[in-house]
Amino acid sequence: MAETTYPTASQRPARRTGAIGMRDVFFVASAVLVALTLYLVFFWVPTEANLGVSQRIFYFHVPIAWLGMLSIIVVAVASAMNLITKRQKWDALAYASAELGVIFASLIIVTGAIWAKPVWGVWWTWDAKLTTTLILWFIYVGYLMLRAYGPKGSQGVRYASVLALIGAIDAPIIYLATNWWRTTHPDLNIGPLAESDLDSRMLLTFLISLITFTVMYVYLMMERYALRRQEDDLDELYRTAALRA
Amino acid sequence: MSFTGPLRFAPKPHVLAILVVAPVVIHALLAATPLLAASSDSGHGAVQTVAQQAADDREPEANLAYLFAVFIITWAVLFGYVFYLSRRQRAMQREIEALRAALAEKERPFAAAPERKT
Repeated sequence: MAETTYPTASQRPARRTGAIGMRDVFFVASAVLVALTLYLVFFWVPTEANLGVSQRIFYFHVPIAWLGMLSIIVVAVASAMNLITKRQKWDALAYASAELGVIFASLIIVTGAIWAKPVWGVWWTWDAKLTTTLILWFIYVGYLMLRAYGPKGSQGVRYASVLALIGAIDAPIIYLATNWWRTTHPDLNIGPLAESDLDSRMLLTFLISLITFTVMYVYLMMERYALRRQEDDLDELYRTAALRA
Repeated sequence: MSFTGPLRFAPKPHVLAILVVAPVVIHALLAATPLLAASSDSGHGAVQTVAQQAADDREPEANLAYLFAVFIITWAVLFGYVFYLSRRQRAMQREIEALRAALAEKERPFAAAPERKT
């Protein structure tokens, strides 16, 4: 079977041009939506009767949690595609999503702990939802450490891909933890199994916040993916330079 | 401050994540230990009384600091990450262009050689 040839990094033109691209569009959209979300969260949405202003943490914490779980699914799908097709772009996508995942998973834990203190009286409790989220954080860190310090080349990518595929099982467990176990964590607010009784203004603010964070995730993903491709190009150029030396 | 210098000493994101989460987890582990909680001062322990909780509920504005803490941490991390990506991309692009130029320079004598013969 004839092998497809692609231009090498030294032959490809520079990726970033002066023209307005999708990344710029998403950047502007993120900025506008962030401003809108902040206005809604701080000035428009009513204060919840029982929890007070701390309930507004909900508009940051839940979208971040959604992205933390989405990231591991993206890592797993991209890793599976990479194992099947052996195309580097899938690996770049998986790596970019894992890096975003560790950031969002860290933010889930930190924002959750800050919210838990005024509501539950403790920073942390070994609740099923919290514990499975901490496991997700360890999965992301494990993935990135495996990529950084594990075997180099395709073997390291394979190991990390397998870890991502196994780690993705944690996402539905986190989502369903409140249904499967007795937990102190509030019930589901998004997704097919959610039974939300939010006030209409709270629901609208929450949905806009969810869209804002998702658009921001796409923008960050594009930026990190572009950087990963640059890193791959640079590696290839160094290899070419070493061969010609 | 240079925004365009190479990031030779920039910490990797997972190292940053560990630095952010580790203190929270350590504090949480200590707070979640009943023995330590019982021996600690009131207000810092793991167990808050129902009366204290009720008092907090009566003053919803009292928790404003927690909201601002979440707000500041979330945006500081996300904007910091965008800034990190932007700097890395610029540094990477410069390095790629320099390397391409060096490779092109190396190729030039071989490409020019036939022209000199004719």
